[in-house]
Amino acid sequence: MSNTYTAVLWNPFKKKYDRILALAIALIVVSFIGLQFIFDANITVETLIIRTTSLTAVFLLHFILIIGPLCRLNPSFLPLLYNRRHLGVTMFLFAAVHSIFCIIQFHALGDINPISSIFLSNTKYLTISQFPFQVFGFFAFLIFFLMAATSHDFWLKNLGPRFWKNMHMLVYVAYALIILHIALGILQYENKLVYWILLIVSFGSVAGMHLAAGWKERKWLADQRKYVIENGYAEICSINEIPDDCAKTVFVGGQNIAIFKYDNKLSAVNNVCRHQMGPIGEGKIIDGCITCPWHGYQYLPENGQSPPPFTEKLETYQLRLVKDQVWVNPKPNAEGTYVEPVKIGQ
Amino acid sequence: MSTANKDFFIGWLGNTSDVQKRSIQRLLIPVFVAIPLILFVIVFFAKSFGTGVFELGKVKEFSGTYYDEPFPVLILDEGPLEAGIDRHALLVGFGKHGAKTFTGTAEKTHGKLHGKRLKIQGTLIYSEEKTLIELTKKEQSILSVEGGTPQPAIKTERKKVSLQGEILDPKCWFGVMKPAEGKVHKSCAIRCISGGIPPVFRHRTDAGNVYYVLKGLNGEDINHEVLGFVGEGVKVNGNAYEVNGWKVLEVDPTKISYSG
Repeated sequence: MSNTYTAVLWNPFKKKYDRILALAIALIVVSFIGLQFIFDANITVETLIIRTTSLTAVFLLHFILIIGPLCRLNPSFLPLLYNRRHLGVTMFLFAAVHSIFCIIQFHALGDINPISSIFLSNTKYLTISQFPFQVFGFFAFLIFFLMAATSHDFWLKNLGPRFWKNMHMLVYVAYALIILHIALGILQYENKLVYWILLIVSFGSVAGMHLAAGWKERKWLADQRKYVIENGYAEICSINEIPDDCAKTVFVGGQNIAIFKYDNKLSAVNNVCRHQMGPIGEGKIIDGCITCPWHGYQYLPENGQSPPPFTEKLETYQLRLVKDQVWVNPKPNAEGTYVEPVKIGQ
Repeated sequence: MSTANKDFFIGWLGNTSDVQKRSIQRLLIPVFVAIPLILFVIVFFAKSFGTGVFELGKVKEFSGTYYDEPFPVLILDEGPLEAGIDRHALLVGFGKHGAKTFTGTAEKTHGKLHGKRLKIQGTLIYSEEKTLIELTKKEQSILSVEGGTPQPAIKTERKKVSLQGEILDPKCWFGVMKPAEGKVHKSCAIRCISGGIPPVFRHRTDAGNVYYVLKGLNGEDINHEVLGFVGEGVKVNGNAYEVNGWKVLEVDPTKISYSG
């Protein structure tokens, strides 16, 4: 974390993460080039670059898309999420080399502008098998560019986490475009069944992981019983249901709330991290601060404020403890409002 | 950090627990094994790239007699030729342009080039006993022009044929790009043919590919008329003959149909 602008904020974990990423990329590039020269060395350098970069980008894109649901299904994978931004920017760089090479190779030095050529050379927009697949790749590239260019906390802070997150959800639109780019492009030429199987399995693994994670979330929402509400407070659970230094998360009165138990006290804050809208309630109290499981952003439980010099703030909620039952008032206080923690055992 | 928190990962602390390390290893090791296997499948089942050659970066000098019609050909002078090179070299321009894009400057100085002896510089493209020369240096590709009496090109008799095949751009097909056919190369081939490179019809036979330069029924260029059929299976009817070492097929472009 940093409260000032830094181009890339390195730490030992990120360096290790990037070393493994570099190793994976080297494996893809060396394996593909090596196999290509073993089986058909007649490939041109340009085609070798185009295919190596596209395959690397597609491998990375699938891995990037799987990390999110994987962490929802098993939090042990959260370290993969922490530096996903570097994965994304690296994927973009490979996609950019692929795109630029393709534009130069197939569309430049002709009788019309190369960008116009992408849209106007093959105009069979009303067919499926002859559809100009380059158009899908072009728009996917624009989305990846937008995402890579804003993959920095500077933009996250200036655009606001909700807008930034929604904009970065465009990755799913880009993924759909890439699947169409492959299916209506290279697979219309390299049309053996094995390639279709690879594409379907790849798409199925991404879609399947998201469906499984969505099913888990849906189950959590379905398990949210109708809470008894008295004098504006909802009865949530027994104090014993909340582990020490952890939270119980509830969706009540339209509010997503995390109730933390720590140091024999209870405090409630909004369950959405102000950094990248991570699930604060799946975090822990570390050194007296609520710590987000995604990127380690921290907040004081009693007022929802990040410790100085950081400025992020969460809404807080009033709590009551009646016998051993925890009650919460789902009406949020303004972000950063101090609420006296409820002491347990008094 | 307390023992209870040891499994809770904080990126900037880098405190990956043993449980997390094991989980990630169980994911990454199979991924690292799968990558070369998937790539093996992708490469092993891919279509062959063919043996076309484009001598990129090797600009050479050539002398011969130039024929402007029915399409630009330089018939190279008698003498030894490099292996794989045919004497009847189809001329194409730099980039996605026909040769005629760059012969205009020389014609302003020397008049019509048809039938004259030329010394040019360019880059060889060849495969399947067909040779093309790219005018890599654009207008500067024509080094000298010697006058001469234009000799009419010797044509064989016309024969009616009905063939199935694919319309390609010969510059890419004979060596510049791989692959240079089908959907993946369609847009590029359209740009090349639109830019003046003569469209070539490839007909597959048991003995190998047979290539015809496509012209209209009156010998006119039909580059723009065939653009909608490039890179797809088509059926053509027309009159075939041979001139300057190349087969020519004169067709009515409105009667070209898809063969599926």
